[in-house]
Amino acid sequence: MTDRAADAPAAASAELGVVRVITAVLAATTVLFFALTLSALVEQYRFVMPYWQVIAASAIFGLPLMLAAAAPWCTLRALRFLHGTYAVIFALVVLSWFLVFTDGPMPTPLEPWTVGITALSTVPAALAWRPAAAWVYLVASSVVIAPTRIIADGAADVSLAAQFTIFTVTICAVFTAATIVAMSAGRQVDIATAAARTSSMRAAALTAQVEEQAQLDALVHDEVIGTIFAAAGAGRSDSSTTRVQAERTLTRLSELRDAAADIPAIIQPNKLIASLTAVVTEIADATALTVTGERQAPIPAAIASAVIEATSEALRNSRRHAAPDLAPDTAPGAALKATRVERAVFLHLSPERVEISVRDDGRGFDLDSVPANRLGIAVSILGRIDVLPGAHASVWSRPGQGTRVSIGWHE
Amino acid sequence: MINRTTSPPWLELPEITGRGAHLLIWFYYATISMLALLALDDVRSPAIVYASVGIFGVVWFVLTQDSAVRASTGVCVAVITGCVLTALLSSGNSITGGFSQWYVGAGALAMFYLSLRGRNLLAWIGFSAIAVVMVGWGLSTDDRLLEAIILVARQAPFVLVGSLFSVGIRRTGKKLEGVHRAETARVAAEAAALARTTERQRRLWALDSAVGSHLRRIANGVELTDDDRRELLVAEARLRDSLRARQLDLPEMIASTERARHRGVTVLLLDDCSPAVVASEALSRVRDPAIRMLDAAVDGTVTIRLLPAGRPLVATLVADGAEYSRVEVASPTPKGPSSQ
Repeated sequence: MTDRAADAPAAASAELGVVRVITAVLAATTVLFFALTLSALVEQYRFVMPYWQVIAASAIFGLPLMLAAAAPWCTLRALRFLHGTYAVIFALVVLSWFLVFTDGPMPTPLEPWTVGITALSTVPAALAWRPAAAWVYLVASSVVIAPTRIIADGAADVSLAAQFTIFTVTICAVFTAATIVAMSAGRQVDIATAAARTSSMRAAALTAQVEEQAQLDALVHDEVIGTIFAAAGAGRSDSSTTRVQAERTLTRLSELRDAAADIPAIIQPNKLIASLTAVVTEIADATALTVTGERQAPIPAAIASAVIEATSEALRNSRRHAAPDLAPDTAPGAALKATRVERAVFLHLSPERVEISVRDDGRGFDLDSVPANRLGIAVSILGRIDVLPGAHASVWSRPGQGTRVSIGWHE
Repeated sequence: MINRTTSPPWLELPEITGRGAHLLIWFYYATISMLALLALDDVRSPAIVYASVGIFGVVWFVLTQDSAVRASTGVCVAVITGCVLTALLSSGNSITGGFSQWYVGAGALAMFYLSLRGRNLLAWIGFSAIAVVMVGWGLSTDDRLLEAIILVARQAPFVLVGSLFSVGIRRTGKKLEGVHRAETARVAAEAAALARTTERQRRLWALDSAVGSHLRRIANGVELTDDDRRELLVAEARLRDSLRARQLDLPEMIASTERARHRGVTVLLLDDCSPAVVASEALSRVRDPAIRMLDAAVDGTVTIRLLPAGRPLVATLVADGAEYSRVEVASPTPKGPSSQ
């Protein structure tokens, strides 16, 4: 079953919420680190090429602030891309230090300011990339500290440089792990939320369907059957009472047909997917719904409703008729296997059109032998769809070769 | 009407009580202990370093033993006490800076963990206590007050990150919870409306196809013939079937039932299984013998009944006319159809 129905809206994504929080925390931490590094920036100005210090410090301490400012308007993908870009820029700054460090060595206890703030880049890397890539970046960023320190102090204390590398790995690992776990937790919340939403939609749809059935059952029982029975039993269809009763029934049916339920005029494609998912699960649980393509524009609710109804009728037809006939002496186990029918529903979305195909590999039938008044195909599928503007439906079937019902709509 | 919804889950602080988090903690402890022992030349008394490393071992042990997402007050107090005690013991022990002052960073990291485990206030109290000890030590020296202040300031980001993160996640979780609740209610209402409209349109089309023309003729005052009245009675019976035996409302069944009724057979279709759904395979095993029985009947009564779910039989088919016959359709698992 497709999980496209379970897509949470980006605005309410927990994963995006986590990334935004970490982006804000990162910005606050950057400000703090900038304050702590300021004296080092001034002190170390004389050891590197002119202007490098300004450009590097602006990039490392300025970009996280810009990221935090942009975060509320960024999508998850965009925000992760920006964090990845920052991690790359940070690495380039650290590596460029080797090129611009021209007036060393630095006296003890000075150390290049870039080596004490590695976590500022490893956290964005964890936000941007897969965990494996983030861990590789972390190790690489920590390892580069050793040569930086060795070159900076003229190899005065190689052992200490190595110790700092190990220390940096352990410290950065804490933040990287927390970031990865937090994002994963956000992702899990998004999945669970979408599942809960789909479940709620399904439950609400099922309840509404049952309620509507009960209402229509009452109408059929009280009005329609009563009218038909009165006309047939009394034998005086021209009697004013029966005629009035029939008129009232027709009016009631017409009112119901025209009454718009509290449904929006247009619905979003993800709602169509969710409703189709519910219908497919409800009618034929083992049936796979495959969704391809993408569509942002909404779909007229009347079209969506008719398409869902037609899909539901196609599946019901398949359930009723697709199982092959068996010889009377077929063993129960073999019968179960022989009557198994594979069904699949394909939904293709595009900016111009919506196409649905309901297929089974059952016994099929001869289209020419279907009576004109047969409800399933004639009324609920072809009749209902073909009258809608831009909509079309077709049925293909052959004895022994299964059935394919195609339903489509274009703008 | 929505009578059942599933509550969306909350976004909460990531759980850092699992094996991975413990592994990281012990990895850090091993590393920092090694670095502390490598810096013994920079301290006055190695014994204090050994004792401090031991105390921190206890601190991490206590922290990792508490598996609750929100650390208990007892654990927090123990962790803070251990960190402050280490600062008291070790602050005067270091001759120079560097890794000989490892305990300040380790204490800050412990407070970071307390923040992530929902203990922001205690984390800041603990860090402040460590800071007071360090500044106190700085004041007690001739020229190391600035070193103490910088040392504390450089570790502050740990606690700041922890507390900002936990506050941010909690606020985001609350905000998302409200958004999700409203969105779920909205999509559920829309799904209900869509399902209601779909079901209504389906039934109305079917109804119109079955009896629409009859109703219009009656409303128009058209004189009915005997054949018309017979048709009406059959149509009325079909409508009753659609109410009493929704799952038997299959085109072939409808056709066979109507033919039988036209021959004068009384047909009774009953669905005692609803609202449970009969599996399509089982239904097709009911449909075929039912059609055969209906087509064979010439008088009397044919009763086709879907039985309540959970019974060994799916349906019973009884023809009681010139001849009596009864067919039992078994549920799919035990055995196939049998007749007597």
